[in-house]
Amino acid sequence: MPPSRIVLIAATLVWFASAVPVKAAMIADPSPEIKRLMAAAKEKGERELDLVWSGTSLGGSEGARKFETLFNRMYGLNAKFNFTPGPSMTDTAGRVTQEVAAGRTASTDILMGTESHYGDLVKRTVLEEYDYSRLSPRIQKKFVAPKNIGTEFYTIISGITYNTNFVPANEVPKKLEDVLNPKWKGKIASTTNAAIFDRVAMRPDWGVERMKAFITRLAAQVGGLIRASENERVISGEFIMLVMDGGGHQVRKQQLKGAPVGHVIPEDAGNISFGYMGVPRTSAHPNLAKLFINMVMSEEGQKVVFETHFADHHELPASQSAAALAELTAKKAKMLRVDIDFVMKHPEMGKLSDEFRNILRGQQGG
Amino acid sequence: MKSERPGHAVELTATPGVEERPQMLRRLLAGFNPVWLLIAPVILIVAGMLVTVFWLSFIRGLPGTPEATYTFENYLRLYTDPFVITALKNTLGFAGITVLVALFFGISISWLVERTNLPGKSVIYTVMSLGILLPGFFVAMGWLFLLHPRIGMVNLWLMRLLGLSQAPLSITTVTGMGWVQGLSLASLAFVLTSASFRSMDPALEEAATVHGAGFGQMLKRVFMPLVFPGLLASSIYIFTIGIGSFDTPAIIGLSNRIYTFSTFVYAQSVTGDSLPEYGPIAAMSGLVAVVAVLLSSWYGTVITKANRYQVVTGKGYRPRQYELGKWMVPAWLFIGIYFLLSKVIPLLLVIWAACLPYFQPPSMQALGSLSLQNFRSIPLDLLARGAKNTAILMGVVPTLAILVSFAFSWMVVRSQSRFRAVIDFFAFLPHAVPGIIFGVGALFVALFVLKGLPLYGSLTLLAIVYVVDRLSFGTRVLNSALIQIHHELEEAAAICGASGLRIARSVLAPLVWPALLNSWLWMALLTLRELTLATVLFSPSNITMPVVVWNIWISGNFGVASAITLVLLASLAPLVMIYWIFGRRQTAWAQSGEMK
Repeated sequence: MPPSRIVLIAATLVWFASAVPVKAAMIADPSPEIKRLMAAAKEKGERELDLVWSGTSLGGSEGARKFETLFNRMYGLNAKFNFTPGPSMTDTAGRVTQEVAAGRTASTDILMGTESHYGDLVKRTVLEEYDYSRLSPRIQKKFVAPKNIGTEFYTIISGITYNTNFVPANEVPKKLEDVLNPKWKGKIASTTNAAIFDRVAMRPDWGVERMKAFITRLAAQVGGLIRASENERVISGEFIMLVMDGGGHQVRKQQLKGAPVGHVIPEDAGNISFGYMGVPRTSAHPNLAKLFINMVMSEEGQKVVFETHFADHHELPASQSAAALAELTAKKAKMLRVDIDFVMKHPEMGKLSDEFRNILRGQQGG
Repeated sequence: MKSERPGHAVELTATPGVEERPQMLRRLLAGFNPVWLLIAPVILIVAGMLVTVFWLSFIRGLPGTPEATYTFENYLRLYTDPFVITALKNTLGFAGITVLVALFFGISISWLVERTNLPGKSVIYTVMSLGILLPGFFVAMGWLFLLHPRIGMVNLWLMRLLGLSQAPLSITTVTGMGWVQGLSLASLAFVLTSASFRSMDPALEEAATVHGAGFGQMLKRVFMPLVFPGLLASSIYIFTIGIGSFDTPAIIGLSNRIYTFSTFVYAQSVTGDSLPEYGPIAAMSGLVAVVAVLLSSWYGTVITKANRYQVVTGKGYRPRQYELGKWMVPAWLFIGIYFLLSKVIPLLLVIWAACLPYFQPPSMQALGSLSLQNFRSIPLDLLARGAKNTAILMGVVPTLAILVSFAFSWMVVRSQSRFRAVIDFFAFLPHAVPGIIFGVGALFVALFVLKGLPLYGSLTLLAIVYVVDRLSFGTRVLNSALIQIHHELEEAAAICGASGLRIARSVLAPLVWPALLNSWLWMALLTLRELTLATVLFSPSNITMPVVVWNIWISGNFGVASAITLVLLASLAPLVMIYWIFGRRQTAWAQSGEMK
């Protein structure tokens, strides 16, 4: 056989090997609830899932394809995922709320949000009430949102994003007040909505008044305000830090690309919050949507969540986020768990957030 | 139905005989202008939207949901906030500088293209037109890389060269923002004023020359008075864009805590609640609407004296072309600098961002990491969906908008209707109300009011809202063109027995044909780049290309967003060809006029 043909055959075999994705195990013995949902989906002719969330969440379009493959393997189905990158979680939550109020089919079968969005949705009849712990023993009762409107599916650990070219390792802030170092004056940014500070204010070691005093000093320290998703403006050097950010998972993604960016959780301001998923009451494909959530919470699903989103639920077995968190707690950093219950118990956080935002806005006229 | 006027009651209430019916109908229709059939529905839509906006301004919570309540809080919060004064001051400064910069470049280039023998006009026309497709957020980011006090390359270079400890230039000011926005909008000023230059009667210039007027005097006494309505319309139009503009103030201003109207409103709507609030935006819109009313009424005053600007008569009207001579090189240099600043640098930045794994200022190190990975990451199915929707809108919206705009302009400029000022006011209002609130109003109406119609989330809804929104642009261009056409042509047609509709179709339309075509092409471009309305009215089935780019950009994927922008620009080759041909035809028209 001529060498060129050997090379061709070898190349073809390699191509086939790389083209066939790693096979995920199909559920051997589905629970009665899974069987019921599959039967209901079949009966109602649900063959598609309409998904709208931010292009950066769960890997956007590319991530949706991975989940589609896993979904169909797991349930032996041939469902099609129609993913569309949408606006912010706040805008999507607002849109779905209005659609449900008008009795329209929701534009997404799964509503993704954080504890602050879901904290608001608990008070409204937007999401279907369904006990997600029935799906799998992996979905613990404590993960399920009040009124059963959704479930936690990944952990968010907020902190400070910084540019490693401008902030040397020995000068990385250890405590929140370290960002007030005069050498950073005018060079750091905060978020337009003063994110996270209201939560930190709820920590016993901070309190509202101390946080207000801190925000007032921070307002004089920051050079500007950007959205939490604008990490690239830190990477470019326009700002050398973002205090506080929307979670370290975004930084991990950019680090993999070689970006000079780091993420640190101040010892005195650590908090853990969560991403949630639920099914709108007017979802066109509610049964497939619940099967999707079950998949996301499975071991295979959490692997894809980490692969696409660089975070998973730290309290699930084999979590990859748990390691980073363990490192922190080993340093005796106290982490505040901020879930929907916490948000509902502290309604004052909304007003505080407005107040902090106004302080940060400053009075610069330009 | 009874009329108060004697005699009419009998006619209207009596049962007419078979022969009387047509006569009565004729009498009823005698005073009816069929143009109203086009205008009335649009006025109704605009009025409906305004009522919705007004209503929204009293809502706390998400409109349409059970939790929504009525409140004055939106107004109280807004107008008792001392920061509003600062934001308004910044807005006026920003919009004013935007107008100055846009008019300076736009009018100068427009004059050079329309009234001189400058070669390569079709190239200029094509670049001026297509340059507007570059997303504003890229342009703003590009200027940050050039003139940011800390990372701006020009500043770093100057500091090294002159041994300075502080950056000598800064784009992060109101003036800087106005400069960036003005450069982008110079293309609009170009197209809005070119019709005025194109239609100038050479007889006036010849008369001025005969009387010994120099170029300066001619500029003051002939050019400026003639282009004044077009100039005023452009200024008002661009000023209003400046007030509502979001991308430049958000990228350059907000990140440096310089608030303008749009970013202030954005900040107000981002409350501690986790669902969006539209009430504060609607309340602020009231203030903008007042400014729009004032500007519109000023423009209305100019329009009422429209006959002073009529230069296109039945005696030939092609304008004279000036020989540039030794000024040819400086003219091209001027245009070249403008192209470099407003088109080339931003385009290079888009290419740069599209080839990088993460956003970074240009450097040798960054050069090493260039790749095509972002192009490979483009979601093709999404791209196809966005492209299809955008293409449909680009065909439908300009066609309908031109038709409606012509009807509006004809009523405002040519008819004797006593509602002319009101009609023009309605034509301008959609532009004055910020897109975001206009979109929210349309969304609400489609969701809750017109429940029975399949409008919500559809491409049809986008098309309707786009047509209404484009109305102000179409009428600004067509008003300027119609003003310059003398009544004698229509009077001649009327004497020959032509109906009003026939006159509009056979006399006016051919005369304003270049302006119509120009408007159509520009509306197609504006439709292609429309972001605010498309974002607010977004659904998975009506997603457009700008929304695809924006949604990917805000999620932090600058590289992929840039790659899609480049694909979009590359796919516009057919449109480039149309512009090229149109540019050549424009030149031919001008030259044929010169020969006459």
